[in-house]
Amino acid sequence: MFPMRTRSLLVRRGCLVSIAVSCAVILFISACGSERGNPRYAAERKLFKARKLKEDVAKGGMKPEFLSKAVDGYRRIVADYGEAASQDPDIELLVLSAQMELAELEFRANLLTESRADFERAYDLAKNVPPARANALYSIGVIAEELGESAAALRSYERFSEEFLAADSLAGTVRMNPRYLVTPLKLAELAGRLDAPEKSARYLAEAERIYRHLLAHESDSALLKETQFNLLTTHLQQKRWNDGLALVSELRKRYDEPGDRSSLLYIEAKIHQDGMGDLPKALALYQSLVEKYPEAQEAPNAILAAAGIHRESGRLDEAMKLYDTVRGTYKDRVAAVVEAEWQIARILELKGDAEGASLQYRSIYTEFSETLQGFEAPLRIARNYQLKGQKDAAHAARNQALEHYEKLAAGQRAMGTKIMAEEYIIRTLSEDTRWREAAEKLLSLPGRYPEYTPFRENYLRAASIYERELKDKSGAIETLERCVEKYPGTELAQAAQKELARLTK
Amino acid sequence: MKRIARALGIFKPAMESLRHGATVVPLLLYFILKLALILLYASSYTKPLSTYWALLVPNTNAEALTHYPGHLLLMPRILGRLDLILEIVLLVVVQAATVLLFAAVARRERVRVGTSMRAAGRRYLHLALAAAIASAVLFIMFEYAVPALAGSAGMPRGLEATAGTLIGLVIQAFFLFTLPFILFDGYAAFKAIGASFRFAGRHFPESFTIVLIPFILTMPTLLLSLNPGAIAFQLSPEFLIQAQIAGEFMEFIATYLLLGALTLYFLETRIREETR
Repeated sequence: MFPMRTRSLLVRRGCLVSIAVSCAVILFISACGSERGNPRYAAERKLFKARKLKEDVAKGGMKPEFLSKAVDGYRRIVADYGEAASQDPDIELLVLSAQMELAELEFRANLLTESRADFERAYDLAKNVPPARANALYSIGVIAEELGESAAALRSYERFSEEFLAADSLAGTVRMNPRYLVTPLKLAELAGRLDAPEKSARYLAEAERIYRHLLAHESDSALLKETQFNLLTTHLQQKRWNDGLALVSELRKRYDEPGDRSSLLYIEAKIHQDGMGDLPKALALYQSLVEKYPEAQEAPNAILAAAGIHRESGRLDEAMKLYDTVRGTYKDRVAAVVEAEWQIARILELKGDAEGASLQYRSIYTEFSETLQGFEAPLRIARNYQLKGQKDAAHAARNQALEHYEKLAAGQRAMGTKIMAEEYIIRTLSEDTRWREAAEKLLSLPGRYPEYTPFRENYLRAASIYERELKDKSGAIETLERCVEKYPGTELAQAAQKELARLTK
Repeated sequence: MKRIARALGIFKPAMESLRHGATVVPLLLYFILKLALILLYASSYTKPLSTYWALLVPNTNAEALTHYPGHLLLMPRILGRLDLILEIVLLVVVQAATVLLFAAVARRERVRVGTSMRAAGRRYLHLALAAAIASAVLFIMFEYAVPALAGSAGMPRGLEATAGTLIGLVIQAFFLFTLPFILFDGYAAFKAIGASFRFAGRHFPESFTIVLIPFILTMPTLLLSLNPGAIAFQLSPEFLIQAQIAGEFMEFIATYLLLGALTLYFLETRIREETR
C-alpha cells in the first residue's frame, strides 16, 4: 500500500509517533476542560483560598493587612457568583458559606457593624438553608448586644423566636445548636435592661414553658441536661430562689460528674449569697467547693466570691489571704489571678497604703497589660494622686500612662488591644484636660483604622469637645462638616447634620 | 564492600551514556506522555472525564473528583493506579528499548531508537507478562502482606512503612534482571524471572545497590506525594501538580540510571563469568 521507504519509516517510527500522537490528543482534551465548564469548581477554589487567608489572619493576630485580603476574597466570591447562585443550588451553598464566613471573620476582628450587615445579607441568602438562616439571625442579635444596642438585640431575638422557637420548629432548632435555647432568657434580660419588667416577666414565663415542654418531650440526654440548666437560670432570673434550690438539689442527684457537681455547688452558693442574703451559708458552700473540687473551673471564682464577702464585711485581712491564695494556686487562670491582683490593690487603697496600691497597679499593668484591669491600672494610679490633691504627680502618672498606651497601640499586637489602647489614650488626655490633643487624636483614628467603623463616630465626639470644652464653635462646625463630607448618606452623617443645624441656628 | 563499590561504580558509565542522546529518547517520550496525563487530570474536573478517572480507584465517588480541592488531593492516588497499568502496557517496551540502547552503547554498536523499539516490541508479550507479575507481587506485598504482618506484630506505622519499603526494594532487586534475560537470551517471562532471581541471588549486594540508589533519588518527591493533605493545606492544592511533575521527573532520571546500571552490570558480569 505504501512505498517501501515510507512503510519502513512508519514501522520504524511507529511507536515513537504513536506516543507523540497520544500526547497531542491528551493535550487537546486537557485544553478543552476549563473552569468555564464548571463554575462551581472555580468558586470552590476561590473559597478555599479565602479560607486560607482567614487562617492567616487568625495566625497573624488579626492584623488589618491580612484581614482586608481575606475580606476581599470572600466579598469577591459573593459578588462574582451571586447571580449563578440562583440557578445552581451548589453555588448557592458556596456563596452562602462565603457570606457567613465573611461575617464571622469580621465579628472575630471586632468589626461589629460590618459583621452585622454581612449577617443580614447571609440571612437573606439563606432562605433555603434553615441552619444558616438561624445562625445569621441569632448572630445579628449577639452583635447588637455587643454594640450595646439593647433594643435592636431584642428585635433580632424576637424575630428569631418567632421564626425558630415556635412549637412546630422548636425541636429542630435546638438540635441545630443547643445555645439557641437561651434566646427566651436573653429576651427577658434585654427587656429588663430596657425598663420593661412586665415584658421581661412574660419572656421568662415563655422560657419556662419552652423548657418544660422540651423536658416532657425530648429524649436526647445532652439536650435535656442543657434544658434543665436553662430552667434553673430561669428560676434565678425570676428570683424564685426556693425553686432554684430545689432544682439544684434534683440536678445534683441526676448529674454525678465532678464538673456538674462543682457547678451546682457554685450556683447554690450564689443563690444563698445574692438571693437569700445568707452569707455564712454561702461562705461555707464556697469553702466546701474549693475543698472538694480544687481543680474545678469554679474553684478560683468561689475563692474570689468568698473573698468578696469578707471584703464587703470589712474583714480585709481574711479577704487578702484568699486573694493571695488565688494568685498563688491558680496561676494558669489569668482572669481570676488578675481579678485577685486588682482586689489586692483596692484593699491596699482601703487600708490607706497608697504607695503599696500604686506598686500593685504598676505590677498589674506590666504583667497583664492586655486585660481590662491592665488598661485601667495606670489611670487608677493617677486618680489616687488626684484624690490626694497631688496634681503634679497625677499629671506625671497620666504621662506615664500615655506612654504605656502608646506602646500598646504601636506594637505588633492584636487589633482589639490596639483599639483599646487608643481609647485609653483619649480617656487619659481627657482626664488630663488636654482637650485639643484629645480631639486631634479622636480625628486621627478613623483614618488609621478604616476597617473599625465605631471610630467614625469620633467626629461627633471631637465636635462635642470643640464645642463644650474648647468653646470653639467653628472648630466643632468644621469637624461636623468633614464628617458629612466623608460619610455621605450614612446614619452618622445624618446625626452630624442634625448637630450642624443646631450649631448654625 | 568491594561488591557494593563495584555496583556504585557502574552508575558512572551509565551517566556517561547520556553522550549518546538516543539512549534517553524512549524514557523522555514516556516522561512527556506522563506530563500530558498530569495536565489532562488537572484539567478534567467535569463529568464525564472525572467519571473515567474514578474507575481507576474502587470506591471513589466520581462526584468527589469534580470538587476543589478533593480533585487535586486524589491526584497522587489515581495517577499512581494509572501508573500500574501503564507500567505493564507501555513502560516495559520503553524500558526494554532503553536497555537495548545501553547495550548498543556498551558494545560500541550503532545506537538506533527505532531498531531498539522494534526489537523490544517483538518481545512484548513476555515483557508485559513479567512486568505484570512483578507489579502484582509488589502490589500484594504493599497492600496486603505487609499491613497484615505489621498488624499482627503490633508494629508502629513508621516502622511498618520502613520495613515495607525495604522488602519492596529486595523484591525489586530479585526481579531486576528479568529484562536483560528476556531481551538478550530470548527467555520467556517465567524462565527469565527464575534466571533473574538466581542471578540477583548470586550478586545480591550489587543488585540491591543498583535498586537502592535510584530509589534514594526519588525519595524526596515520593515523601511529598505520601501526604497530599499537608501540602494542600500548608502550601496550596495546586502545588500537588508541581509535586507530581517533580516526582515524574525524578522517576525519569532514576529509571534511566537504574536501566543503565543494570544493563552495564549485567553485560559486564556475563563477560567476566564467560571469560573465567
